[in-house]
Amino acid sequence: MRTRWLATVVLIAVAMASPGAPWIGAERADGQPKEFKVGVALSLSGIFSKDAGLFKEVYDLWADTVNKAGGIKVKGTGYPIRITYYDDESSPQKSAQLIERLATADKVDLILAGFGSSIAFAATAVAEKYKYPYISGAASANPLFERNYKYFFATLNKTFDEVEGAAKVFTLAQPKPTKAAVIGSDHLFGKLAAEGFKKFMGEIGVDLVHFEIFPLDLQDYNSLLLKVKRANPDVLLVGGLFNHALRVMKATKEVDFSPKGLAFSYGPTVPDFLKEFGKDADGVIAASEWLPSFPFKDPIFGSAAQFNDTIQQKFGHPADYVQAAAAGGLVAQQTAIEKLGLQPPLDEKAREALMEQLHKQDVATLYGQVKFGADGAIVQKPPIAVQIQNGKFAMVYPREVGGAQAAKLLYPLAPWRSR
Amino acid sequence: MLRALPLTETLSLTALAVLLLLPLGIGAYPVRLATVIFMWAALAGAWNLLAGYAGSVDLGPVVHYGVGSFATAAFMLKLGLPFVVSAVLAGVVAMGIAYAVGTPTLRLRGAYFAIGTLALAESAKQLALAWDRLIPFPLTGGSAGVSLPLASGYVGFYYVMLVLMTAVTGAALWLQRSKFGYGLRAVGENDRLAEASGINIHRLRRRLYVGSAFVIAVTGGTAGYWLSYINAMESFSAAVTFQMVVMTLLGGLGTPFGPVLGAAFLTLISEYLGTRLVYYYLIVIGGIIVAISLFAPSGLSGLLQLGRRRRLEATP
Amino acid sequence: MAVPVELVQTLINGILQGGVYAAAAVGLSLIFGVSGILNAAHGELVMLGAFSTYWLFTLYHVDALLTLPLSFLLLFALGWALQYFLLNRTLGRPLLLSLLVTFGISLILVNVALRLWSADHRMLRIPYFQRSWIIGDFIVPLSRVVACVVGFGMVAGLSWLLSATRLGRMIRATAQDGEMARMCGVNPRAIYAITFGIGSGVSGVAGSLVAFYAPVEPNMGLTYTLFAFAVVVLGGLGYTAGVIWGGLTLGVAQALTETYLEAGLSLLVAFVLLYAILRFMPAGIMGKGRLE
Repeated sequence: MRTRWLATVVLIAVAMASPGAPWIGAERADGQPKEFKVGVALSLSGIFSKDAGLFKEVYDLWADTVNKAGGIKVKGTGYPIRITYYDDESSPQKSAQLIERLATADKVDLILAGFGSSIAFAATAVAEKYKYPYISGAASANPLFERNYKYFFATLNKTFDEVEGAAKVFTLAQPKPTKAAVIGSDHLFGKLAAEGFKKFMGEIGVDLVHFEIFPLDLQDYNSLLLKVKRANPDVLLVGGLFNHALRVMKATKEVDFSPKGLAFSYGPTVPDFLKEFGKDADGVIAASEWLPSFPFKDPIFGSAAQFNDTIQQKFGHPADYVQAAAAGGLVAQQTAIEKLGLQPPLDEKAREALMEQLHKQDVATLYGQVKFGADGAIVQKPPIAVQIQNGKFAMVYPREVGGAQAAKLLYPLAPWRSR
Repeated sequence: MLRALPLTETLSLTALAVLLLLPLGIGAYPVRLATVIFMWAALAGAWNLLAGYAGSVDLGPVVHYGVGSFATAAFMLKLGLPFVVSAVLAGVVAMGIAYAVGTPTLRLRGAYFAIGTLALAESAKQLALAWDRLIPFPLTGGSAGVSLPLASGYVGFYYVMLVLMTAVTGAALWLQRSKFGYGLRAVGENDRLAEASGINIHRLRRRLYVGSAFVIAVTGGTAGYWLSYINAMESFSAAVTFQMVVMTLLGGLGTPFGPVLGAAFLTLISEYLGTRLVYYYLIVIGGIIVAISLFAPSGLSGLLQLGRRRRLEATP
Repeated sequence: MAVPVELVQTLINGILQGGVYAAAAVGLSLIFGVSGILNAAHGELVMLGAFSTYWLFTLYHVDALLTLPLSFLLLFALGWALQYFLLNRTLGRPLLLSLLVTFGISLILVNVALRLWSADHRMLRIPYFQRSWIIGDFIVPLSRVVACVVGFGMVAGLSWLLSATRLGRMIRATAQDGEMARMCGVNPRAIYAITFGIGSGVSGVAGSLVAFYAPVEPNMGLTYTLFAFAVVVLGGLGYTAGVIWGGLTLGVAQALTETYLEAGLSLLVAFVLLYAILRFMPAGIMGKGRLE
C-alpha cells in the first residue's frame, strides 16, 4: 500500500520537473503587442486587506490613466500596462513566494509593492535578489533602511520621523502643554511611532507622564485609558493602526477622558474615521505626509487636488496619504523608465539601470518631490500634522509646505461633555 | 507486506534521487515551490509523529517553530556562527525547552492536552513580544522582529528542507515497524492497557514530543533565514499550527506519507487556484477541505488506498 | 480614602468584559459538551452575529437591542444547517475530523464575509448607548453594561433551558449517551442539529454585543475562538454555566494586569493562567467540569 504513496510523490516530482509544466509557469502572451507586464503581490485577504485595498485602487487608477493616454511612452512608442495581482494573504512568507513567482516564472517587467513593513521585509529580500526595484508607499519601519538594499525605496518618511510633525505641533499650543502620555499598539508600526512620539516630546521639553505598549488583541481599552487619565496628561499621543485609533477614540469618550490635545500616528486620515465620529472628531490631530490642498502636480495624475477628486469619484472616498505616497512612487518609476528609454521586456540590466536612475533622479509628483537617499528613504520630505477642523483636514504643522499655509491649531480641545 | 518492502525502498530511493537532482533541471520558482512543500511536509510530518502515532493532539507545535527561528537568528547574529550550526543548536535549545515544558504538559489527556498546548503557544507568543521590554538580554526585537542577512542563494534551503522532510518521513516509517512504534500504537489505542503491559507511556510520548520539537525548530530556523526576517507575531502564529494540522489530516493521520501528500496537495492547489481565482480561491479551498474531510475521512491516502483495494477486488 | 477607587474601577471593567467573554464562549462549551465537536469556526459565528447587528441596524434601522433576537435566529439557522448537512456526517469519527471540517467552514465564512463586505472596520453609532454613567468616582459605560448584562442573562437562560425544559433534558440525554437517547425515542441527529443551532445562535448574539462597543470586521473571529477556548477551560469543560466563572476570571485578570502591570502583558497573563488552571485544576475554577 505504501508504494502507492511513493509513486505519487515521484509523480509530483516529475510533474514539477518537466519544464513545460504549464500551470506553474506564466501564461504566454505570444503574438500580442508589447506591453509592460507588472506584477503585484497584495494582501487581498487577511489582516492587511483593508489597507492593501487602498493600494489596489491607486494601482488600478495608474494603469487606467496611463493606458487611456496611450501607455508608457518610450522612444515615441506607447506601451500599455497590464497588472497581475496575487493574494499574499497578509503573510510575509507567501509574499516572498509570490514575488519569486512574478520574477522568475511570470517574468514581469516591474513589481509594485505590497502593503506594510512586515510584508516588505520578506518581499524586498527576494526583489533584491532578482533586481526588481520595490517602491513602497506604506513600509516605513526604520530597520528596513538599515539593510543596505539597493532595490528598496520608500516614499513615506521613516516611521520614527513620520510622527515628528504630529508631536512638534504642540509647540504651537497655547498654553503650552507640560505633560504628555504616549501609548502604542505592539506592532512594528505602532511601537516605532510611539517611540518616535516619546523622543520628540522630550525634544520639545514636555514631560512624559505615561508610556505604554498595548497588544494588538487588547479587548478592554477602558482600563488602559483610565490609567492614562489618572496620570492626567495635557496631551495624548497614540501610535497604531486604524482600528486602534477607533478603539482609543471610543474609549476616551467612554471613560470621559478629555485631553487638551489628541494625536494619532495613523487612523484619522482614513476616511472612515470621520464617518464614525463626525463632530466628535473635531480637533483630532494626525501624522500625515500629504494633503489634497498641496500645490504639487505631475503629468500623470495631475494635481494633488485632481488626484483626490478622481479617487473620490471612482471609489467614493477622499484620497488617503498612503495612496498619494504610492502614486508618487509610480510616477517616479514611470519617469525613470521614460527617461532611460527602456522598452519592454525589461531584462536584469534594464532593471539595474532603472534602480540607478531612481537613486539619481529628483522628480516632481502629486505627492511632492520624490528623491531617494542612498538607503532608499525619501529625502527632504517634511512630516506634517493635520487636524480635523469642522469635518475637514487642515494642515497645522509646519507653517508652510511648498507654499501651502498652515491653519491655526485648535487647542485645547473641548471636554467630551460639552461636545 | 514482506514482498512490498523492497519495492518501497526502491521507490523511496528513486524518489529521493529524483528530488536530489531536481534543482538542476528546473527554474527558480518550481524549486521554491518544492522547498515550500518540503517545509510543510517536515512540519506536518513532525506533528504527525505525536498525533498520528501516539494519539496526542498538540495544538501548540508552533512554539518550537518560533523558538527555532529566534534561536537560529540569535546564534547567527550574536555569536556569528554559520547557519547550519546555528540551526542545529537552535534545535537542541528547542529540545531542552520541549523537555522542560513537555514533562508536565504531557500528563494532560485528550482535549486538555490540546488546549493546554494551545495556551502554551499563545503564552510563548506574548512572551516573545514582551521579551525585549522585560529582559535585559534583547532577543526577539519585540514586535519589530529581527532582520537576517540575505542568503547567497535559495537552492541550499531546498536541500535542508528535503533532508528534514526525509528524516521525518523516515522516522515515521521506522515507527511503524519498530517495537517503540508498537508501544506507541498501543498508547494511541488504549492507555490503560499499555500501562498494564509495562510500557512507560509518558516516556514514549515525551521522546516523540522532544524529537519532533527538534525537527520543527530546525525547520523554523531555516524558514526564518530563507525569508530574511522574523517576528513574533508570525513565528508564533496559530496559523502555522493550523496549517500543520490541516495538511496532516488532509493527507492522512498516522500514515508516513500522509503529511507529504497533504503538504503537496494544499500547496499546489492554492498555487493553481490562487493564480486563477485570485479573489475566491480561499473560499474554494475551504470547500475542498470540507469535502475531503466528509467524503474521505481518513485523508487522501485513504482515498488512494480505497481505489487500489477496489481495483484489486475487481480483478479475479 | 475609604474605597480603593482604582481597584474597584478595575474590577468593574473586568466584570463588564467578563460578561462578553462568557457570552462568546457559552456556544463553544455547549457544542463541545453535547456533540464533542471542537468548533474551529466558532469565532466566525461571533463575527457573523456582529455583522447581522451592524447591517440590520444600518440598512433597516432596526433598534440595536431588537437586533439581538434576529441575530440569534439567523445564526441558529446557519448553525442548524451546518450540523444537519455537514457535521452530522462526522459523528462517530475521531474528534480531529470535526476540527478539520470546521476549519474548512471557517475559511469559507471569513472569505465570503471579506468579499461581500470588504475588510472595512465598521462601527455602530447608537446615540443612546454612547453615554457613560458617572457614579461618584466610578465610570460605567452604558453599552458595556448592556453587553455584560445581556451576556450573563443569556448564559443563565441557557442553563435554565438545559436543566428545566423537555428540550434540555433531551439534549442532556443525547450528550450522555446518543444510543440510549435513541432508544428512548429521541433522534440524536436532530438534537445535535438543534444544539449546534442554539450554540451558534448564542455566539451570534455575543457578536452582536461586541458590535455595541467595538469595530466589526471579517477577520475578528480568530481572537474570539482563542478566548472562547480559554474561557471554557477556565470554567470547566462540559459545564455550561462555568463560562460565567471563566469569563469573569479572564476579564478581571486582564483588567488587573492592565491597571497594575502593563497592558502588553494582559494576554500573557491570561494564557499562563489558563495553562496553570488546566494543569492544576483541570475541572475548572469551580471544580465542576467534566474530567475524562
